[in-house]
Amino acid sequence: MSSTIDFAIDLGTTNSAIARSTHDGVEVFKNPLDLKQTLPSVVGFRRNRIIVGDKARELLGKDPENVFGGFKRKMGTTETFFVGNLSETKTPVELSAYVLRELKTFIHTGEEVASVVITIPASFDTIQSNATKKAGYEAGFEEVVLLQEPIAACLAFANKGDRAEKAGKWLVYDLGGGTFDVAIASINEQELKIVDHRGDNFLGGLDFDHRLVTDVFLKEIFRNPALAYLKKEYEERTLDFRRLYQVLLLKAEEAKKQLSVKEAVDVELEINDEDGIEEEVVITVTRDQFNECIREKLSYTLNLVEELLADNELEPSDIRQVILVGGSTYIPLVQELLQTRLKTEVNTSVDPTTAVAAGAAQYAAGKPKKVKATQEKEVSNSDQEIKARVSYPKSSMDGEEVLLLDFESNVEGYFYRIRREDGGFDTGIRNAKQKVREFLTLAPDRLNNFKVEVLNVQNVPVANNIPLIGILHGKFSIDGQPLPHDICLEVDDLEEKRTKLEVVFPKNSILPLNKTIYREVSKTIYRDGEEKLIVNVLEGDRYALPETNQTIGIIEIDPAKLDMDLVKGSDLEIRMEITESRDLHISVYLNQTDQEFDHLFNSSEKYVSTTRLEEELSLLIHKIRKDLKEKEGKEDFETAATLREYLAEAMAVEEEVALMKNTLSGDEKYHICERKRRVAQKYDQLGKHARLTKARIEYYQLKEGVETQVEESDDKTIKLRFKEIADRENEVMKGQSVYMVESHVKKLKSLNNELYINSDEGIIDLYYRVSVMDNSSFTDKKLAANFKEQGQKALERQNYKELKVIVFNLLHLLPAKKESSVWKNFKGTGIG
Amino acid sequence: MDSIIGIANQVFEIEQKLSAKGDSSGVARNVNRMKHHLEEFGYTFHNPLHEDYNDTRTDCEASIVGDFEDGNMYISKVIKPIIFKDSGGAPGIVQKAVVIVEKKA
Repeated sequence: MSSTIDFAIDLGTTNSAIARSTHDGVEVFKNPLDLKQTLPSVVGFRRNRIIVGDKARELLGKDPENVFGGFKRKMGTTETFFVGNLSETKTPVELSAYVLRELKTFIHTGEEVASVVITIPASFDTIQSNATKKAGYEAGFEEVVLLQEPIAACLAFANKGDRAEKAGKWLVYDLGGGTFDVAIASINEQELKIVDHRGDNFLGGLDFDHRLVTDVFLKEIFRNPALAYLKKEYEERTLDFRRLYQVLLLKAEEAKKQLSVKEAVDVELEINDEDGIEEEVVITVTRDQFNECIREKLSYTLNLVEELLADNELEPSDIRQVILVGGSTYIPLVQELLQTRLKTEVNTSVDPTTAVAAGAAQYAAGKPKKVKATQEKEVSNSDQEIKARVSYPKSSMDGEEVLLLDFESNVEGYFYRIRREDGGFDTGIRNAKQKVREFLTLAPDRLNNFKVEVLNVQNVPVANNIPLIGILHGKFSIDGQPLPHDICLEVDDLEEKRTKLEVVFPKNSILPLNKTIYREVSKTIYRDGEEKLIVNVLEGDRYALPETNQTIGIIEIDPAKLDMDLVKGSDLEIRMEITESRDLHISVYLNQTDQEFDHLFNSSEKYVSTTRLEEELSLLIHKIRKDLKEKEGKEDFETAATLREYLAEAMAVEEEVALMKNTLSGDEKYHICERKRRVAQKYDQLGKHARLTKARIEYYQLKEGVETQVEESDDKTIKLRFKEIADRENEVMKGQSVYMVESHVKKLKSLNNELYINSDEGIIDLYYRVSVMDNSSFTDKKLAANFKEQGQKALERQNYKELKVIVFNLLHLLPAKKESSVWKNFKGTGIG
Repeated sequence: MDSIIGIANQVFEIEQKLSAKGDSSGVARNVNRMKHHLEEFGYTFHNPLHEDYNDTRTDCEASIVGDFEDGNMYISKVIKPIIFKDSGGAPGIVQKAVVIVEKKA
């Protein structure tokens, strides 16, 4: 455990932040609800719960009796805030403590933080400073060390490494969302102190948004004759206009951010005219226009800076550098004006939104702790574990669901808080009662996990037995008919010259189902040609051969129906819907020709394509023959006998199709298709387990060798290819598809070959193997002899690059292997 | 990630325009395709228009027009949708919706 404080909080007027120093630098914690690094310093009391941050800020001004912001300005005063909903008053210290407690929840590491540095404005007197300390203690910290904000900011910049070079006076220009502060700091090797400061508590980025709306947006809108009527609505502040104004304010904030990096932005608006017809308005705002809107306000801040310098008898030239703090300093004009008027270097090297928190954390890293976060606390927490029974539905179709908490322990004086894991729901801090009923808002079509926290009087979480509440939202959680088999689409595998299955709806998916699949056309389909585009939807096992599965719907797009040739690589969309009664609707849209083909397949009908049947049989026979030859070669006569049986059956089916091709009735087609399917299934299952094991062993053995070579290689492409293979390894090896495992082995082999050829040893070895071949084996004997001679010389000179070219030339002189007519004539589906 | 969120926001806006002004050129198909590709990267979005609003909804950043009345508010306009990112585990919200909220009539 660290002996220094490490943790620091920037308790701001508008926004606050918490950071921690580690040996790697400073981490500014993010709000678990929205991953922002800042928390609005606003507290709301909503009936029996307390909300802090963004949700409270939304209600600022809407519910002034119960929602409070800007209370930091009142620290150390006797002013209190009457809370209507509680019928009691809260002090600025108490309100600040709520913000500090909320910031503690940002600490994702779950550490118990007893000591903290909290920043205060340079203007805070002793009473205000003590009030801040008190807020820290009320929030549960046992040790609070205060640090002035401009000093914290200076530390963040100074620790960037140029402290010695820039020793002297620094100007800290802090322009936030709602406040402006400027301070002069004196910095040298030993000391960093604040000389003087100025500020305006009512000037910041929000004012700039309003100016952009009134000076630019509204003027432009009123110029549009159809929208001129809004001028009157503006004057009367009607509800419609107030709604529009909020939209404009949001657009202005967006535009302001973009104008920090772009010279001009287009703001698109849809505004209703007097008759309710939507009018589209596009306003182009340039940076110059924006600058004109805010120039006056910025000039005012510069006046304050100059006054501050004059009061301290300093010239701008006495300032070594200006450091920027606060989100509004991102605006380029801020930097320009500072540079022009002060003629001093402006330092922007630290993120201005978190500079104070980051600097304070750096200070905390050097500050020894006086108290320790006691371990006993955790023990006592577990001793006093709060027990509750929970009740909630595991799934839902509704937008919200009820959670019942029945506390078995006495929870008087305790609080609870429920948050959705994705940050989309937060009850805020609520008083715990023995029985709690809470409505939880669900995100659509997903598992919603909620965490229930029980908090003690200091709002510190205590141990409880409440599990993570998981509620599944969406149709898949509702009892319905599950699919008995995978539903797949048959697609081409051009590398393997065969087709494969791509699962669309996996087994056990609940009906009804729909999905759109996006693929490319794998071969050009000519209008005057004979090849069709075949969308074949099958039911069965996704890991089996396509021919073993049952076609449940097929659309064969006749080339004559195409408006033009369908080019290889063009996109196609296949939409599939399966109803609860298992009707299948397939719709195929061809992007290139803008044509749509669709068909509804009834679950009681069977679909057989004679073209596909012929091709599948031809491929099946070819594969069985090849396998048979291999088994005979290995003298595995038992398997060979079985294969011969399958071959005979497959050939008989093929013959039947050929003989009766044009006269087959629907039932006969279906019967033949079933025979083909049965023989294909038997063949697919034959020795499947042994093949899978063999392929897996081969993969892992090969991988070991390849991995070492890849590590030694400098080739980034090779490394990337290996990573791709390794990343998919788990998925492929755990699967039951022989085809997929074998194909993965093939990829690894190809990589291995490339590594071999790219190594000197590999190319020498290959040269020797090719050069011992008789010249008559090559297509050009004379040229081969010539290459061999050149190779020998290159080898003697140890010029392996040249040798590689020669080896490739020799390999090209070898006669090409004859491609089987089955592979050559592979037609496939046309879907890649 | 910011660029993908930017793209998702644009896709959402196109979808809004199409539903308001009609889709005579069949652009919805391209929009669906873009949504599909965003989904491949793990990004999905949800439009909370007309849904009930209360201050437990930390999936929205609301600008409230008029008075706030507990239990009687709804989302009347959506400037940006809720964007979820699914990166293997439980999906998280990477962008809260930016919405206008007002009292139900």
